[in-house]
Amino acid sequence: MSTKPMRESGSTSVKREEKKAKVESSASTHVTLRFKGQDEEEIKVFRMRRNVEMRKIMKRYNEKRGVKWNTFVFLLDGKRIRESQTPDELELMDGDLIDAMLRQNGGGYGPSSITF
Amino acid sequence: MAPGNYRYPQVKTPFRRQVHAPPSPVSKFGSFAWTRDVQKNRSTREVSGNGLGAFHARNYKSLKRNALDLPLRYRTGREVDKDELQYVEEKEKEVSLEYVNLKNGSFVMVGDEKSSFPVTDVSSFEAYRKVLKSAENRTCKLKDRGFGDALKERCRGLIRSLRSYFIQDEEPVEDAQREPFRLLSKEDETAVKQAFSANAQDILVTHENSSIDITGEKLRCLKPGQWLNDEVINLYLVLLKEREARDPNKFLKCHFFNTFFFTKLVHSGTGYNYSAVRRWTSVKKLDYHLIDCDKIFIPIHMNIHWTLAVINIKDRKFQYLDSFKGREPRILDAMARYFADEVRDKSGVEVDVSQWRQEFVQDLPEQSNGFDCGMFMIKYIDFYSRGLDLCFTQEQMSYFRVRTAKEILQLKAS
Repeated sequence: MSTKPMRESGSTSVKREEKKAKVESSASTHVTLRFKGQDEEEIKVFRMRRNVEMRKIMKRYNEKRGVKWNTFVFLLDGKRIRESQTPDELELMDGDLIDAMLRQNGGGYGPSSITF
Repeated sequence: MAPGNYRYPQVKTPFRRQVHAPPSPVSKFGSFAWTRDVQKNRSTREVSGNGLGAFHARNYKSLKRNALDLPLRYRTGREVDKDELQYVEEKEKEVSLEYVNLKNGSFVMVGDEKSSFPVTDVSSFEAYRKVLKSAENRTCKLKDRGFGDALKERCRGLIRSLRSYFIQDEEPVEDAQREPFRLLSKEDETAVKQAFSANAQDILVTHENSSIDITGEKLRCLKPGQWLNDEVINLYLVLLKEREARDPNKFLKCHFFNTFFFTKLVHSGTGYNYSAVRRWTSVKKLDYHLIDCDKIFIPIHMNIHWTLAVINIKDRKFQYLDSFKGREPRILDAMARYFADEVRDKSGVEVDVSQWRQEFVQDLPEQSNGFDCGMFMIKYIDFYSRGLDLCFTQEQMSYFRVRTAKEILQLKAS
């Protein structure tokens, strides 16, 4: 088994389609998660150990996107994910979709940017 | 009808009888027939009504009666003139029939028309003389006892009891109206000031349930002139929900979506996409269905502007609130669609949202600067969730900012 499951999964299993990545090894120690950014169509798929903090995978996603830390807010079904939590704590299942949302600031007026 | 320092006999004795035995509200003749009769025969002021109206009227009358009975009650020295008593008895016999007729649940206050009252025995001179004498006696006695002061006291008491009776329902409302504007204590203001000058990276407060941490940097968005960010707004909405859970009777049953909800709903590439947010409101998470709420609040982030959409289930309408009074029909359309989809998905019920109104709220406080829209938005939510009208203005924004900071630091919205 690889010593750095994150790195390997990241590079080998990023797919440019919306299907779930094939789970190779035991589902009990690892979980496959899909990340969808707010501002793009693509879903990135990562695999990680269940008992590792989410921080790692978040960092990995940010790197993939080429943004710095704290650009995104990660939500699972509307609920925020802390970087200190693990997939086990969050009871994540294979194929769960995590939303990566951009941070929001507002106070003034601008053109309506809502696209329907 | 003032208590009696009169030289002439008062004929309004039925009320004295009522001190002993107020009439039952059971209708004997039917209020309608009696009303017509009453209107014809005398110009009386009738207070009638069903249920609560009559109840209040009755109590009002009884309170009034208590005051009007002052002279009788005041004679505690038991110096009651026998003659007078007799006179009263006679009067009562005559009026008993009249009195029974009044038992239709409505109170008839006889106006100042003495002539209309069928008095027979009193017209005898003897009785009249006796009454006059006793009235004079009474006047002296009452004067001796400092009647004027006592009268004032009783009047005051009556007014107080009347006020408390009528206003007792209003006072909680007044408190509820004042609560959103309650001034902060010196300690709170100091705490907020300190928090504003804390280190940017310091985590000032953590909310476990929603996994939101507020750092010094994030809290500073509440300083005057700063734009609000999603952390502060989302945490505030969570606190509002907790406030409702603490005191369900004081607030409407509401659901507060976080600021990412609308973005997720309509920005998922393909436009409106219900399945993207379907699991946000699973019963496991919420313990309730959205359709069971009174209002659902959806904060909307538009590039650099915050606005609010409300699904007002109580009034069956979709509302859009913009502190710049902009209008976005597509937003309300999306709301309607979402609501229909959601109710169908969770409760299996079809809601005909085409029958619901779409309202762009125009009667709302507007912002007059370029940075307060976030504050306006959360205040719209705050006031609506209390069931209040939006009775605030731009001037109060600086107060609201400090108050919101304080509530966030204490993790408690009040």
